[in-house]
Amino acid sequence: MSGTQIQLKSCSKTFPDGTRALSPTSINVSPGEILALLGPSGCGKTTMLRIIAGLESPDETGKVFFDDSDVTSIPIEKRSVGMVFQSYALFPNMSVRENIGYGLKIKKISTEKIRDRVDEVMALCQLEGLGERNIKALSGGQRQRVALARAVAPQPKILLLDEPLSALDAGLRDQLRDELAILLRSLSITTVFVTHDQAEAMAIADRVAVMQKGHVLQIDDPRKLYTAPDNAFVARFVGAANELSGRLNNNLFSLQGGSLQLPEGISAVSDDKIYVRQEAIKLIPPSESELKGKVLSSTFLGNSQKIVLSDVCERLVNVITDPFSKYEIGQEVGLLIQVEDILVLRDD
Amino acid sequence: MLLQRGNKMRNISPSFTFQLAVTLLACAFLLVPAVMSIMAGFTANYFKGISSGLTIKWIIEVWELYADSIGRSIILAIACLFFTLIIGIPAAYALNQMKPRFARILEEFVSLPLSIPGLALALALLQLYGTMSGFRLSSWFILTGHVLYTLPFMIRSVLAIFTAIDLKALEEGASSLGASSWQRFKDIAVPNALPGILAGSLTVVTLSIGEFNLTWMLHTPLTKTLPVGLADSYASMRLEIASAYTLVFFIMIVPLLVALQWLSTRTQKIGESR
Ligand SMILES: Nc1ncnc2c1ncn2[C@@H]1O[C@H](COP(=O)(O)OP(=O)(O)O)[C@@H](O)[C@H]1O
Ligand SMILES: [Mg+2]
Repeated sequence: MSGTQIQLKSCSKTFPDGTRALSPTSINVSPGEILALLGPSGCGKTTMLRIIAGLESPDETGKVFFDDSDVTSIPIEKRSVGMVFQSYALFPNMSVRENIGYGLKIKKISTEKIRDRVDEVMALCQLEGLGERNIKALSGGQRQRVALARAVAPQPKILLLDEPLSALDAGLRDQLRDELAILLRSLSITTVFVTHDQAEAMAIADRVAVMQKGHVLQIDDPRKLYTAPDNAFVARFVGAANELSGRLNNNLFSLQGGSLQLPEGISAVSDDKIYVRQEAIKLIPPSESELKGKVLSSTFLGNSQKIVLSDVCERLVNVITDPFSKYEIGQEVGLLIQVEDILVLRDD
Repeated sequence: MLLQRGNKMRNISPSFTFQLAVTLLACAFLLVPAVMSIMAGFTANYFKGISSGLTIKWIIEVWELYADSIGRSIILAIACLFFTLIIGIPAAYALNQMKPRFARILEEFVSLPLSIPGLALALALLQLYGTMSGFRLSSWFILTGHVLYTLPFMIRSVLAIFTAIDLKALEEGASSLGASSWQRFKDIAVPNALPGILAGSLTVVTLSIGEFNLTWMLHTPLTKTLPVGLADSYASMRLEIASAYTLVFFIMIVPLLVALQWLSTRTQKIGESR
């Protein structure tokens, strides 16, 4: 794939007020790759994105490379990055067309060429017919598309998006997420985008960097992240794994609701906790299982149902199962968990 | 429906009546002298009253006596506007880019002339430049005072709109598209700040045309302005001329004030709609 490689070399960020927004971080984004920065609010995602953009400079030791050139001290206007801001930052004094063409106008491209490129980008972002509109007369979804169109029009080396969908209503967000995924892939520009929504990260990105409190905990492709999280935070944040606490004794893991046979070799369960995905737990008749729980609630979700169990361990356990089996509240059920679905993780 | 309405109409509370009365009284208190004064400007002989006949000769006489003061005031106001624009807008832009704490200190500093009485400011100017007689005797001297006095209003007005439109975010957007700081200033900052710039301009013009304290200290017999002329006519002319002068003053200043009021509510709405 063509495109520019991004490298951060031990970039940290301490704000003047002493806030450590980012701990020293080194990451590589391959040419043409789409990387998601995923994490809860305040974990330093925007800060990292702004360091790549050139809107913040990293603390002294940090370096930012685009391909082989060190851009650490180059201001954003000379970095050739396209950026979609969380607030979109569209120019109210310009029409949709003028907004999208602004980057090209700055580059002193001829008026006809600007017109052609703007037409092209507007078609790509499904903005046909809106060119003369005022920014204030656009819906949220349209603004989002104008912001994206404006960022990609000058054919930047790198595309950066800060929570591009967070300002939209839930319904629209799902639709635009899929559109955005298709569009970004068709552009094949090296892209970094920030989100706090794991479904969004999984849907759009080639790789996801999970962040917590200014640290990158794990960078992997979405499937790997889901099936083999490096630590408990990643497991909980990506796909909401159940945490089961108990006591390990010769491969027998005893909990409040019974026991589980663990395979040989995982003797070193840290803090006596294991993690299991919601859909990896099967519900069977209690007589057939060594581990039991009580149904606290069941919620029909259309293509599945969610059962909440108590009395398995201290925490409640969520199970996603087929939508049509009936469970009474208070009913006792047995839990079947395949050994390979058990995640043993460091607790951070 | 109709019946209910009627009921409501009859149910005007005594406290409302009282409030209305007080409001009308206050209006009358303010307006009656103004109306009287304006009428006096049209009366042939004020001491004989309206019966002496209506005339515009006083207004013509005011024009003949004070046309140059009025003209000077207008030119001063325009020049003052010019300087506050070319100094004030870039200054507000720079302040907006600074770190908040630093900017606040500086803003206090440029706002100092607001809290200093015009007389003190005039005295300072006289002490500093009084000996440079060419400058001292020209209208430039008054202009300097007016610019010093009105500049903070321009800066504040522009700074307020920069904050209201979240200029920082807009500029980050523009810089990501490759715009240099000059391009951001002319393409983004100024066009989006126009309502604030307009409000600031009207304030400056209104203040400059109406300014008396400072101007009175700085003026010479050859550099009178509209309000200085007004005081002069009160002190030395017959009442009808002074009244006619008041009328001229009103005609010049009231439209400015109305426009200012209209603009400032509009600017407020821009801030709120964000
Ligand atoms: N300009 C700033 N000055 C001081 N602290 C800041 C600044 N910007 C962000 N922070 C702090 O840095 C941390 C990370 O912020 P941010 O990168 O915006 O998080 P995220 O985008 O993941 O929500 C937060 O605690 C935030 O309050
Ligand atoms: Mg953020």
